[in-house]
Amino acid sequence: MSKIKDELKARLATLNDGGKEKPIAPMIIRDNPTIKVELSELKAAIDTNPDHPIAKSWAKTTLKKSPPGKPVHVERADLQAVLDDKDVAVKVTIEDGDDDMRVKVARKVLVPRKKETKPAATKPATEPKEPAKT
Amino acid sequence: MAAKTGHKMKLYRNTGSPDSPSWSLVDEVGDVSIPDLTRGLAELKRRASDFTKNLASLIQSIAIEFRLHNGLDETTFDAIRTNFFSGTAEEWACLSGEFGDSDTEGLRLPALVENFPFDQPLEDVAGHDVRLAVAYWETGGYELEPSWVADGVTSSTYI
Repeated sequence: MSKIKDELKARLATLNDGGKEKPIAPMIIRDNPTIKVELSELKAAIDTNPDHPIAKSWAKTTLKKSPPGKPVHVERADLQAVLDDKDVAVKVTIEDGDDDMRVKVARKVLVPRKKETKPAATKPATEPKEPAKT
Repeated sequence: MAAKTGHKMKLYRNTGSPDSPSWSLVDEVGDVSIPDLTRGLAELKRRASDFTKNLASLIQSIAIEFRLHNGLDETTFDAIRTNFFSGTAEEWACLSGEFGDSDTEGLRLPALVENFPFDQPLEDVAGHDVRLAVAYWETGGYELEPSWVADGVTSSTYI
């Protein structure tokens, strides 16, 4: 939080000095490093936590669609999430870029897993009673 | 960054989902090219200047072209054939090196298979001059954009 406070102060100081604020680049940088894994390793990771949404997705897509015997590159945060039973959230920050621009950077972070709750049992609809015959 | 030939560069297909990608190397290919990375220009001609000048317009439809040899890498062949006939999009990455290496850069884009011809020359290897064209693709509530991979990370360029 103090980093954001410092950045805001710096931006205010620039403007107060008559300077121009750096524009934000019209792009987002997805800073998600990868890891190269064999399909057998990925399958082992999936088997450790087969109910995880990412594991389910990989089982449905990667394992079926990848050429056998060839490694794949997956994002490290995704693999870590499966192994540690965490959820992946995307955190976007605005940072100073190389040039006279600020850039939006999106990084995957691990957060505690939301347990899937089963929907509450619904009451069976009660049929309207027929009006009493007179 | 150093000079290198195309055979050391890499083409990948995303066999996972856009949110949780898994990049599979596609290496049973010949020449690979991104021939259409061009920006549209609006010509400005006026009495006040002797020069025609240009205003930047949209980046034009991006494509990846490559020679897929027939009979090799059956998984990729099956995927391209299926995507061509069904009109299904997939993500591809055409990079200068291996995914994740610090000096690797290149294009990542959601793509449709636009061309999938089947060449059967008498005295040359049979194959397919595949052309992938950028696709409009919404998934998970957002629209996928072409992006540039640089230093192992991906920049999504909104165009």
